[in-house]
Amino acid sequence: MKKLLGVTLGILTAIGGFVDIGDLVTNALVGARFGMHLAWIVLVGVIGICLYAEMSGRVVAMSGRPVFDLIRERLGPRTGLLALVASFLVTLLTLIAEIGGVALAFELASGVSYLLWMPLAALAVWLVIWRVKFSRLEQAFGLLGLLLIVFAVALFKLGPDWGQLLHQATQLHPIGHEGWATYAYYGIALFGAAMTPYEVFFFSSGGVEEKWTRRDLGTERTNVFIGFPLGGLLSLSIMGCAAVLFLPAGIQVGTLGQVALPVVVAFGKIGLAVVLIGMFAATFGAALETALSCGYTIAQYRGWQWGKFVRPREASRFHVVIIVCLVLAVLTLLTAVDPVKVTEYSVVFAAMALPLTYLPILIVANDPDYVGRETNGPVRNAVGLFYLALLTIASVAAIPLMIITKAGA
Amino acid sequence: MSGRVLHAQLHLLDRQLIDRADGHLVGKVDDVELDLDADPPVVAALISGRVEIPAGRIAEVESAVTISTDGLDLDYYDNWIEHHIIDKIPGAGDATE
Amino acid sequence: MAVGVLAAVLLAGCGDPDQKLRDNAAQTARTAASDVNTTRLVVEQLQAHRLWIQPARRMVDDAEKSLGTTADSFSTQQPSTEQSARLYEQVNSTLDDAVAAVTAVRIALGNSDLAAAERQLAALQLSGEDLDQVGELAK
Repeated sequence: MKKLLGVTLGILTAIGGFVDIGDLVTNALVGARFGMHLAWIVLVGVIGICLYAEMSGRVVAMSGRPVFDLIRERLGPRTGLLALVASFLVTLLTLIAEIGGVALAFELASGVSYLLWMPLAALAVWLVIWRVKFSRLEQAFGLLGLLLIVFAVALFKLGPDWGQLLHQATQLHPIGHEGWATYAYYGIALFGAAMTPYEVFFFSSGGVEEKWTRRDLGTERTNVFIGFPLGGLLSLSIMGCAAVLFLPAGIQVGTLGQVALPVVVAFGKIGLAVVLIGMFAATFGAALETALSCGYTIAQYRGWQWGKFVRPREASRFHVVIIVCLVLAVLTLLTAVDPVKVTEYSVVFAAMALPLTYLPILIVANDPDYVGRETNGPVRNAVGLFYLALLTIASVAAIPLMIITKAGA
Repeated sequence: MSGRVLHAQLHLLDRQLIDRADGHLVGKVDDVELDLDADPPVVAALISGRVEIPAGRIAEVESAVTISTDGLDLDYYDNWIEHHIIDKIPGAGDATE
Repeated sequence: MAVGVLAAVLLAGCGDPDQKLRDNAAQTARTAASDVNTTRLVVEQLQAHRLWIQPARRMVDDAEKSLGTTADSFSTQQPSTEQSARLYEQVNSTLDDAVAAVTAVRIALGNSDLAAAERQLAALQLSGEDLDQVGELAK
């Protein structure tokens, strides 16, 4: 019974933790412009993140070594450093977007400018990291993030023509005034949002924080293979709401308020309250995860003591990295840069950094030194290689497409 | 340790160093020093940052390298930051709740 | 009706500078329509008591800012032929109407005057339709 509860909790946390500011904004934006014509990318992204999260979880459970530890070991110090710089900058950019997202959610609720909320949000993130136990922080925000299921319920309430939505989802091409270049650009953005590198850094380091062993392998797989796909459904329902309400009305999503509007139309004030709390939990939870991931990547590359399983003073460099990143995030946001724009860029840059993150995982998941007899089978390797090819194409195409489409304009 | 055949580049370089006493992470293997006079050549020391770790300190080589750190100053930078920054923040020595 | 005249003017000319301005006009109009329609949706939700005034203000503020940027950016265009000049005037005037309606809503909400905001619904609807038509003039 207790085990079942643990598994359920893990799954719920995975669902709630799946969606962050990148998913909220990108899915709504894409739904409003392309209907469900890009929904298949979410599916592709979810399968990819499941595949690689399972591999990194397995490596942690069998060897106790998290992802970035391996990146340097497998790529060598030079390529490893390149991977570090790319992953770290993308994670920092995501952190900036998430803190902006927390502040925007408060701004919507209170009417007070997000610029005032933002330093408070960063301070709160730091306090939670400084004081609160890892498992507690993960569960609290994961569970609260489940409130975003309101998007799925809202989609039913809006009473769409399901046949038409399904029809859109099977037509893999741009519509209306959109061309192939913007279609591909936003495809890459969605892919980047679903497979954000920090997800595996956090997931695998979390495995060390929670001291996974071989016996936790089953739980780890259940969380990944049930939790992430359900999180993907959440992403699709955000896209679906935008496709139903915004596409016919010619509304393009550029603010967090617009992302929430379909829920307002479906459920009124109560819906708005629920969706705002859900957005707060999702972005705050992701802010914790990205802030920690900034510390994880650098500390693991350099071999420093890291983690919340030791007292802060025992991992002083790790905590200093986190503090510096939070200060950088606040300074960046104080320039009044639009957090939603930062989000849009962060998911595309994430797509660019993906191959460097995922290649070492694939290599190590085949190394008996790390995973014993639990190496990848031929099927998992084939799919893993296929995804690596996809990631490389997305990574190479991202910048040219960004230039051609003027960042999706 | 003696007698085990290891591929230095594959099994030692860039590996995580762990303190045998408390399990703390103390750095990475940045370089390996070989004793070329021996036949066959053997590992003489591991280099991590500015610190040289004699081969005799190596306790175990797995997916990480466990060493005994007595008398080695591997924590220099961590301690510096601890004393000058982290310890000044309340709660630095508390376990999280 | 203004839009009808506009369409006739546009269909007549196919020169290169004209085409460029027309593309720009269409894209501008679609971006602007998005903000106008967002504002209308927000006011409709307020009218139905489905939204608090705080978030509504926020959303309309954002729409007004974005619309202002769009309109300003179009007004810096350089019409080089007579046809372009007419199109330029028409689009600018359509954008002005849109900005006026959204600004009126923003002011009304700032004063918590719901009735005044609701009075703009017709203007928003009309403005949205005009912009939609301009938006269809080019890819």
